[in-house]
Amino acid sequence: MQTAENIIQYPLDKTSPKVLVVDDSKTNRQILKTILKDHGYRVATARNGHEAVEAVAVAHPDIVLMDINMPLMNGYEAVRRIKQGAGQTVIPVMFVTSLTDDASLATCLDSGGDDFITFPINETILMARIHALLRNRERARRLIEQEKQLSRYEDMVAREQEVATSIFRAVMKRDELDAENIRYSISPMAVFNGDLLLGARTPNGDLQILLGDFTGHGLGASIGSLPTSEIFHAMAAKGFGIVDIMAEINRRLHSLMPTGMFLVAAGIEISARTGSAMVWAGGVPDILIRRFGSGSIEHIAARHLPLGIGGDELFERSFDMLALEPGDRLYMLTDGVTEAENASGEMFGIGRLKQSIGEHADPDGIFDRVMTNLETFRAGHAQNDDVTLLEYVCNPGLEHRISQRLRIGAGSRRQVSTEWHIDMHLNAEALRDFDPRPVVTQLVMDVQGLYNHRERLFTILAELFSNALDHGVLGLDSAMKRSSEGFSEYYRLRAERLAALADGWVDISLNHQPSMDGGQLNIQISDSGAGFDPKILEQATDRVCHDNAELFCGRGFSLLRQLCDNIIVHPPGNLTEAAYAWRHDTEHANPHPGE
Amino acid sequence: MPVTTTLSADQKEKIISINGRFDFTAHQDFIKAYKSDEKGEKAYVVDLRNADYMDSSAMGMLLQLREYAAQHRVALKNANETVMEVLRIANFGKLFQVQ
Repeated sequence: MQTAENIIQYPLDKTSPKVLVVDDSKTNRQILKTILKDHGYRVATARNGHEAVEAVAVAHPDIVLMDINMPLMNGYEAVRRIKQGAGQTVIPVMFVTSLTDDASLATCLDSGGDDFITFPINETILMARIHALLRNRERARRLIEQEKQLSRYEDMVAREQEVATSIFRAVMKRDELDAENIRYSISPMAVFNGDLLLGARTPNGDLQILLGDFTGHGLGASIGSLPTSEIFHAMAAKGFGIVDIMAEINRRLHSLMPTGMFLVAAGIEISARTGSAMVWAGGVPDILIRRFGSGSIEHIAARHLPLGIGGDELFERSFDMLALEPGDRLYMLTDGVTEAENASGEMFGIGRLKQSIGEHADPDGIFDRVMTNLETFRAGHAQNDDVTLLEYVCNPGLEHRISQRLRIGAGSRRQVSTEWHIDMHLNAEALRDFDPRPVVTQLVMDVQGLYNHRERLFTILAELFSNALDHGVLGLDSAMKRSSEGFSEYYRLRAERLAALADGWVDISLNHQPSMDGGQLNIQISDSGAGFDPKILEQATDRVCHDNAELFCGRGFSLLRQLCDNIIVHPPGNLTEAAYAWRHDTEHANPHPGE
Repeated sequence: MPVTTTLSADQKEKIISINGRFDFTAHQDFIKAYKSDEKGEKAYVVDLRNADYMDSSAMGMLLQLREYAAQHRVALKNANETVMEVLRIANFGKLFQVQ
């Protein structure tokens, strides 16, 4: 705390405070001026309120000492004008007066004055009060400066967020989620809460969805969504499976993000053909499935660690397979849904969510009901996290139409048809860790520019390869997939046998021959298995399309027959040959019998 | 104190106890609880008996502790039902001894 004596130390220079003394009495002006100069202040004077207002504008005093009764303009009026004209600048005004009645002194403060002192002047008190006013002025000045800085900073943050939001919007592509059978809610600013929702289709029309939530908030939480989205879309476009995509995202995030930052995420791949869903979930709340007929609800709990915590050594490739029937509904969500709080700190929880999904006869209203129930539960209580929720309704007819529509893109790029040949040998080790389908499809497109054929080629390769691997090398019986339990068991067994695979191989051989107006691609796939009797398969596939119980098996082969010009299984059944002819002038080589 | 520590008799294990909400507000105290040790010097037990809530930033802190402990184990003990649910969903049992 400074005392009045300290003020004396002010040197009389341009930095010492300037006081404007306003009084119509020359004597009073002189008394005040002398005291102030003794204490090191610079002094300006004015003889009435009118002069005072002008002097403030010209001399910029730090403080004004004001008489009340003066000719032309009295002190009250002068103060009003000075304060009004000051804007954001703070000019303290102290009335110095010989009036002592309560009303006059009260008016000093009412008119905008900051303090008053009455004659006879006590020098020590006068200086102490001036000093106090200057101290307040300095504080107010700093506060205003800080407010300005804060508002500049807020503007800057808002501008940066605008830029970031537009970048994130461009990167966070999810056009594929704008379909009749998909609904979702994610706030535009959710990315700054770390929430992430991506959607893409593979070349053969399978739908891939990633829903996730980065730890933390703000730009730090959102930044990891950029590489995640890039990887997701690039790999989906090349036809990589969802588990491969999650593995790559894990690898990249682990190398990019500091310890303690991670992405809880679920990746789902829904087959356009069978409606089955492959689920890889790490650290997310349960994925819920509401069955169409019974309305019963099933859960898929996350099996895995969140992404980015460790490298490949911590990444597990196991997944859940889910058989979806038409009308079944699948729900993916972030913990913003389950952890939404009401005013008394209670959480919405999975129980209330299940209730919202399960009840009622009108399934199409479920999504809106969940959102409404959530809103009602929170009842205006501030959102502590964003709510990101997605609903997918199994609709095989629609999926089929979408996958057909996918044939857009590069148009009819004409290319000289050439003759070429590729052989690939995959041993047990390669089969365990490597999915050849996207690589081979990419290769074919790169060599021959068969862009418009990529979905078909991918599907043909995928079917041939999984026949060879699943039935040939791994010895799995597709009849298992006829029941819903067997379906899951099939994929469990598949993962188990694949992980333990010690020997076995698959050979892929591609031959391309140019023709007059296009070319013909011959694909040969052989495996180390014992083979099978194709007659049994043919009998099975003839009745499969109308038989719901066999929705999940045998369809691969009938599809191959539709897509290829010719398909031969050579005895003993471990060598399959497919021929695919294409022409320059039409988008597709052969009319699709299924359309 | 939201975070308190005790040492085992042989000085080789530090018990870090969390009180109240285990979230970003505990960050400074939680780091202080183990940064006084050399990296890779001790094993840790995080006692969650009195932790009534845990969020993802707390999970991040546990991962940092795990990195700091290096070859030594980090055990998570006495989690209540709510906290256990968070650990279960994140599958943290794969990284920590959850007891």
